[in-house]
Amino acid sequence: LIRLAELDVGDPADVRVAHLRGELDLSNTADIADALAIAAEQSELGLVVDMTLLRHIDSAGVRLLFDLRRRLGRHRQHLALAVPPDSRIREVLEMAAVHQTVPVTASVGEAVDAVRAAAS
Amino acid sequence: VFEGSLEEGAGVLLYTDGLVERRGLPLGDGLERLREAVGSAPHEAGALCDHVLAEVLPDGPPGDDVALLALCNAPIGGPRLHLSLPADPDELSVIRHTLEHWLESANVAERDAYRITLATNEACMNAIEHGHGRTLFEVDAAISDDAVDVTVRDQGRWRAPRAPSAAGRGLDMMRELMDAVEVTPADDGTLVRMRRSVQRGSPT
Repeated sequence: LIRLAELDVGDPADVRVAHLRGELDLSNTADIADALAIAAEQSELGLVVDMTLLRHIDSAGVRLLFDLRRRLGRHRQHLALAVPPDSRIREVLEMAAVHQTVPVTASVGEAVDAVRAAAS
Repeated sequence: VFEGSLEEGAGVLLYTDGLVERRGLPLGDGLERLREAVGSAPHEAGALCDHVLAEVLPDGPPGDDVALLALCNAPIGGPRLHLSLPADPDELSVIRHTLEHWLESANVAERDAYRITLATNEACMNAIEHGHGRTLFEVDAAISDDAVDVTVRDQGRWRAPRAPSAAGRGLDMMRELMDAVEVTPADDGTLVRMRRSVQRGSPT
């Protein structure tokens, strides 16, 4: 069976990076949200979700991001997203004004910096 | 387990032995009769089964039970698209991929195709959330020279959004992605009509 979305979580670190690829929609948001919440537990400052290879996100995925941000906030952790400027999912994030509450950067490195800056 | 891909227009027919086995007749005769029936059958799964049964078993079922399963990889194209699907979140990616394929075959500009697909995905998500997996919903799309119309019809009633951030965000997205969005609630379901003008390239 081909999975619609795959999540590879990097090693525990001060800022853990979760690489999300494929398509995020109502069929898999619950599973991905659980996996991201577990990944965040082993991170000190917060989580970066790398969406470089994510081809689809919709309102269900946006809901996941806002829920995740709230969840991290309760633990004084921070969330940042890495989305390349030419990614077509950027339009959805902009429509939902995600950048107003979650830093959306062009690369994983910048996203990690954004979490560290928010935590300092 | 065998895995393979079906070329466009190709199909697979699975059947139980009752279809081809006749007492007193060689098996080869039954198989030959089936081959002829399939060769002259229409390329739509339901019609194909009807045709094969009528040709091979003109007198109705024999003593044995007969089961037929037809799978057709129908080409996607033309001015209209119709999908009838169970209200299951797993169908969303099927809808997106089918619609994108159809829009691509109609030479719709990629950006327009993406926006139409996203808006349809949102409308279908609402239909699925009302259907709770028990009902079917339908997606129809039609293309003219400069616009695409999409309708999504479900058998449930759109309740007030659970929270402004849930179904409300989906509806906001649909309105932003399309030129016109109209939601018509009725006793027997909800109808969403959407339209977006598009740029079409010349056929390749």
